[in-house]
Amino acid sequence: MNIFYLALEQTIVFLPLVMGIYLSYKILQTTDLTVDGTFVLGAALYARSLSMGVEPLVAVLIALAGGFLGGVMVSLIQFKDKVNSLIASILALFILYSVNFQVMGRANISLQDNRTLIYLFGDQIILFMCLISIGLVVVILSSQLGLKLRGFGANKSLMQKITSNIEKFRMLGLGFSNMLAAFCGVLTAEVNGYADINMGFGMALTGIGSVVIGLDLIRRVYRSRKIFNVGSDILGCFLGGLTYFLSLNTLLRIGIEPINLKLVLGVILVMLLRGVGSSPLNKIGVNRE
Amino acid sequence: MSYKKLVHSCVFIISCLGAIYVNALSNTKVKQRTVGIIVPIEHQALTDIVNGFKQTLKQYDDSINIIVKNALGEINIQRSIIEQFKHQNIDLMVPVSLGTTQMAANLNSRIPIISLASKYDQNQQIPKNVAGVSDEIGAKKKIELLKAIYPQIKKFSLIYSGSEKILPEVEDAVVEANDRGIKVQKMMIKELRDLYSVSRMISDDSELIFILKDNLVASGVQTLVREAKKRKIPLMTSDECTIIGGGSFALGVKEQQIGIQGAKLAIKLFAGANIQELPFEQMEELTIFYNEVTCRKQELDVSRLKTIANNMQYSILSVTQSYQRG
Amino acid sequence: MNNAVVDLQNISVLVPLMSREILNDINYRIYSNDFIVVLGSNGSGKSTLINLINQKILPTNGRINYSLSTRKKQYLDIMTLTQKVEESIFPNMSVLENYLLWNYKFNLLGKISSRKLTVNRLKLYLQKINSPLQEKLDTNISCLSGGERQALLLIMCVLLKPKLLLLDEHTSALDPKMAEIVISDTAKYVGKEKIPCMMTTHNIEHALNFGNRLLVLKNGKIVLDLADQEKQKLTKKDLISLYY
Repeated sequence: MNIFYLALEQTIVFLPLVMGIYLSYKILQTTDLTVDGTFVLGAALYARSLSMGVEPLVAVLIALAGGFLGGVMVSLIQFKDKVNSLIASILALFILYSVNFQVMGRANISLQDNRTLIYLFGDQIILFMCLISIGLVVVILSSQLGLKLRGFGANKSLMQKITSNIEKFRMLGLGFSNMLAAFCGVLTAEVNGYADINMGFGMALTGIGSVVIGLDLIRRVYRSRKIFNVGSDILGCFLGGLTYFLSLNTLLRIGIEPINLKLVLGVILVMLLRGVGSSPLNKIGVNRE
Repeated sequence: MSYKKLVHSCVFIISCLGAIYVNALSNTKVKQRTVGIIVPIEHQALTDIVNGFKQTLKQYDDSINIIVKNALGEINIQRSIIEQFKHQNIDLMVPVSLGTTQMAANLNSRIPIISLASKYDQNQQIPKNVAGVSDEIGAKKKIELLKAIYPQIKKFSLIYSGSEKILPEVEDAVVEANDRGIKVQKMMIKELRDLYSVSRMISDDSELIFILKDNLVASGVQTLVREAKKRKIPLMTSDECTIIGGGSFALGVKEQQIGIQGAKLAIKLFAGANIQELPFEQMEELTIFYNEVTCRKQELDVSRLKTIANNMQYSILSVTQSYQRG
Repeated sequence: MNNAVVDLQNISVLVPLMSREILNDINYRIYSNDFIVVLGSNGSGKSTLINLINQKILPTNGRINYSLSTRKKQYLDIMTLTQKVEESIFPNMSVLENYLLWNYKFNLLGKISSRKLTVNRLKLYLQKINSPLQEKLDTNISCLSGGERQALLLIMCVLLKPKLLLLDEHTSALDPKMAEIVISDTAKYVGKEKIPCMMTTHNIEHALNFGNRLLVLKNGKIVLDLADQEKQKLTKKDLISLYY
């Protein structure tokens, strides 16, 4: 298969997760690694529901609800910043591991004999699902709620002064973020044909990398002073994912020793992340007129 | 500054494309058999399996090109590797473990797959292009061995974790033991730290401690070793590592053996067999591992163990703390 | 005169451990037409007074009566601007978005019409006062200068019509020229919209030129409390002698 086409396909499956991480990392400005767990939770709920004979679309909804609840759980652990967000997400990950095991009932569920989405609607359902998730993010972020979520991320203490209860924003934001991760889990299970207890490993970091790279790329293209634009940010998420998968597939094709793959990918990420620092818009006030 | 960056990234992309081109050229030249092994994560047991497979296949035909790729635990990398193999149009994919096998089978129905160390559910259909070697032994053989070594045994304690992978085997073990007139004290632990208190509750008339191939319990095997020593009863386990750690004896498989058996399937395939005709096999060659030091202390006669192994057609291997894998 | 907006009764504030009194037995009332200028050197208790009124700290002794709201913690009723602008803005968001967030109306989804209305109000107001900010509504607020940001915050405060506006040396981080502009704007807007206001400063000129009441604090005590007429008679010399 063409390397670009392959990367494109992988990006479409991965995009909901990147957008989920974009919600937590860029909009709410907290580091949330829980997606590693809710990704599996989504896949687990979906696979288990299917194997119990639930209709695929209903199974998707169950998985989404599960992911949302996962996000709510993290926000409750973080409640009022009593627990550092990183620690909270690691704790949540810890809990989710058991939850996922209970949901799946075993370490691995195969989907190949079930009536899955692809079985019912064909391959293009994945693209369609991805478009739905994009639509969801656009709706959330361009609404008043989106504005408030961004306010929460930008200046939490001011938000606290203006509205008495900011915890609901944390809850909703992390809920949606993890719901998207679960959605990605569903799509991944669908494409790969199985759900596995360990399939979430490294998802959050890859996602954060994609978000950072993508948004940086976008900001180099659109140097407008108006900072926020849902469309260009989502395009950024997409480009970030695409860059990641393109470089991953290219490196594999060049024949980099797999054991060195993470080193090379990591170095590329660091280079890009360092590059972000010198991006003009990141230095506040430098391009003031 | 950013102009320079742009140049850098351009150079990077161009060199990548160049490398792909060169690679594509070299691909077309070579016409030899290629086998792609996909390992999900770095782990000693998996490495042993792969080594067994590689050595056996190389003995058969040294010109076979064997590529080993490790997904390092990430599902995205794993997928890319499989797609890469598909693109290269290799002759055989060898995924290690169940998840990897499922992904390989789902993404590709053309290239034959020989799966190592995986087990499909009984009610699950194995895809047409998949054959393989399962690493599970089943409780029956273990209980048979137990009965052969201790014909007088009346009761033993089975300690296991709550992981769902283990539970069916636990039930089998209890049924098999009861059929042979042996009572079983079942003890489940939820976490590693439960192990100590559970080990103190082993009943006094229990004549042996038995554990399965259970990662959680195996990681706390030292606790059980000490308890067994105190009660002067043997500790039977199900893999090599726990015997090295101080258990008495185990019925298990040499990880390498899984690879060797898988390679035999691959050789049949290359000799002209159709992948659909090849089976999903159980392990043929089982091994009794024993720890000489522990056995001597427990007055378990090693020569008798050897006779039993011989009768049941198992190979036997002595392992101790100083024993090196390989 | 009508009712007091805020009534401070026998207020004392003690620093624990040091047993130093920052404020000592203060009795003071703020009325609805007041633009009070509080003058005092560093450590005189100006900021403590502001923080008492906006409930950031509690008095050691005495009590404060409010007649502005039944709800206890209603940020938009008493608004405070300090020299630390960053505390009052949402960085990396546009001017308009900042304004919308400040205009928080407690409904989650928010009707588009009401959003348009709110935006129009800001545009009209900026037009009316002919502020240079009307060109910069879509600018990232972090790209504005300190003075612009402070001016913007002031305008937002005025538009939101708080029951009481507290300004704690809000111009002291600005250069003299900008400070002059911001402070005269302050006086203009506050007067026009009739918002009760208390402003602290250590600039004697400002204290003389602006406001209709003057309060001078020294070592936690009120040394001078003048209303309109008497304040106008006051000269710089009198003030300096009190100040030091």
